[in-house]
Amino acid sequence: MDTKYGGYMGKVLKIDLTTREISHYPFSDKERELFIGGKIMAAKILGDNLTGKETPFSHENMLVITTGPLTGTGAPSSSRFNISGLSPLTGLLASSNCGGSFGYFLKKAGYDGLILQGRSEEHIRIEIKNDRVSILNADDLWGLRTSEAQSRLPERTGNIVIGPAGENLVKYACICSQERVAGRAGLGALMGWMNLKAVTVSGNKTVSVHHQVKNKELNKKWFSRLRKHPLTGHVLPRMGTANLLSLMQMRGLLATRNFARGQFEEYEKVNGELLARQYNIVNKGCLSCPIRCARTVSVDGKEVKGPELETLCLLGAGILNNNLELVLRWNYELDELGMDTISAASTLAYAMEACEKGLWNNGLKFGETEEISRLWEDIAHRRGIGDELAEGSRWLSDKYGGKEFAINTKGMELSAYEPRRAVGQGLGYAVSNRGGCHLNGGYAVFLEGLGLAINPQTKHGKPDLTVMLQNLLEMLSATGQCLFISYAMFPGPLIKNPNSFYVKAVNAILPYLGGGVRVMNKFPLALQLHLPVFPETKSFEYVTGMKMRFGQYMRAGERGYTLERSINNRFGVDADADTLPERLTQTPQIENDKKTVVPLSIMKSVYYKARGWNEKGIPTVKTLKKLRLEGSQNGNG
Amino acid sequence: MVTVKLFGLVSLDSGILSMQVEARSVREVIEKVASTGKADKIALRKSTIFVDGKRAMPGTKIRDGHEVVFFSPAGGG
Repeated sequence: MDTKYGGYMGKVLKIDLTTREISHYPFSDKERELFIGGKIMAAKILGDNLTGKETPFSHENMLVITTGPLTGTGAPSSSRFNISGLSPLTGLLASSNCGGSFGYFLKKAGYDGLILQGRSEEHIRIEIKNDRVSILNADDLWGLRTSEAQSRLPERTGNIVIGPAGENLVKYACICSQERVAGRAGLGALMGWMNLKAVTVSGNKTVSVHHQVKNKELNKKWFSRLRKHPLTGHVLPRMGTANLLSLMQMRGLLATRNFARGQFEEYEKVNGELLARQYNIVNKGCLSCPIRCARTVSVDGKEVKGPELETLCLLGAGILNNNLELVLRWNYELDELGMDTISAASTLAYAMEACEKGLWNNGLKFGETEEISRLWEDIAHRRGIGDELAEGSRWLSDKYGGKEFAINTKGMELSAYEPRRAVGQGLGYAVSNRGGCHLNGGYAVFLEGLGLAINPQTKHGKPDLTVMLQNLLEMLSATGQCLFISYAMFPGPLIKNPNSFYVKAVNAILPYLGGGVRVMNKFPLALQLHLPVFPETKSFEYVTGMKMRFGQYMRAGERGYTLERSINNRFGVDADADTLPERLTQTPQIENDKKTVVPLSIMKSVYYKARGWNEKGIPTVKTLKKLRLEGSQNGNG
Repeated sequence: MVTVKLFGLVSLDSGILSMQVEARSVREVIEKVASTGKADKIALRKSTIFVDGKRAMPGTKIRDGHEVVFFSPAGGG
């Protein structure tokens, strides 16, 4: 073994596609202690290799695929893997997370990570079986849609593939793995640029676990707890993520008509209840996941993956489409072509509004849906206006104007939560390392009206809560687990009885605990304990043998988030990049209600202080030292 | 008459999307919806409730023309 720790395989495979050189990338136990796995491990690798001068489509960029230590150990919802690299969409560090089984198979082959770099002269696919790596011609796969391409790959392997969109360098092309998708930030285009259609991986190695018996006992209880929890055991299995849409409507959070409004009059024609009642055939889940949040629907007589919440919202309310069957069809088509549904939908919404305002005569109109299937094809193959739509909303607004309604941050389109009615989520979108992402932003909207109901308009406490949530989700992702299991942190009664005095008190007090949360964020190591509601830390200890109390867990998340920020700083990100389109900060969502904007600048400055960053949004030397990231601001981390 | 709408699992379990009832308070609405035998009274009482888009409680008074909406717990994203 190349590591003393359980949960790790101890090797990171590196393949240079230009030279076809195959090697092992050094990653020490000391680095495992600090950078854990998943997106944080990937950031460490990229941070050690990127100076800030590289461009996404260059030989210096890397596609770094990483697993977490809990993957393959029987921990619940732990089969996720991460793909990172410089994003073709944003030009910045991006990470995209995916379910399915690729991560599990990568570990079975004996690797914690896979680094791909360079560019092949011919179309290729890679087959990894234990120590054997084969680089094979893929002319027969090139041009195929994602499901057809996957069907021609060896069976009983984990695989990732791109579709035509990735091949044609659509800036928001995704990477598919079975029915799951690493959707965001356009890393499929990086694979396309590499001339790499697919990777398959298999092996017969075993993931070692430090405390096998204790781990098994813990997992048994943990699975049981998740199955009993109102969200992970009932709502998500039965309704999937789409269950949130109607509540978003009621709270004014449903991004409608390119984020001009927060409510869609016809939401009942495209909501999660209708999806569950009329279209869902069966729910599916990733390996080792008791939640099983994925939907299966029928399109043209085929059973295919149903839409997630974001897709449902943005391809419905976002473009004023009231036909749920069209959303099911488009979701399927976008997966087949290999495009991120969020960025595709939001770029389309921008184009519709630009046309309406006379900025770009493209023939697209809100509510007109007849030609949209053809448009997806045109984008994926870069035909007609599809060639420009393939560049994303930031590029289009640079060319045609209308930046105030090009709904992106750092070049990546926002997901479906309208932040003017959940201002903490607005802050999260703005400062998120990978651009307009609700999860990387901290997902404060869950506290602001969807799970709990703290005042969504107040700025009090939001920066500190955002820091805490971001650090928590960062680490959860790095271990290989799905973020949804964090719902079980919230005791059932807090979720099940929103009208009780206890819940009302929590909602009222939480925003004013900012000071307390800040102390916890600043001194997490004081929390040398395992929280009863958070088995993640015990699980980590039983699997790896490392000490990981709640405080260390939060500190590791903070380290990861700050490292990503530091890398982005090298590429020019500072406070000016942490922004939102003017529509969301200047125009009240409710006319004459000035509170319904995102008070970004004031929250941002509190956020920077809470993170130990200077007023320009750059981590101070003291902060970097505290996090053991010395030198990371200039590429020597 | 008030319009009652159910969302989330409380809707799926009861099979009720929408109905009209005569009532002067949310509590009365809960009684009437539960009396159909389809919806669970406790689930309704513990729902997140809105009257004409504003957050309400079981004791909230209502009048004709109001829309009363019940949401069971939600999560995802």
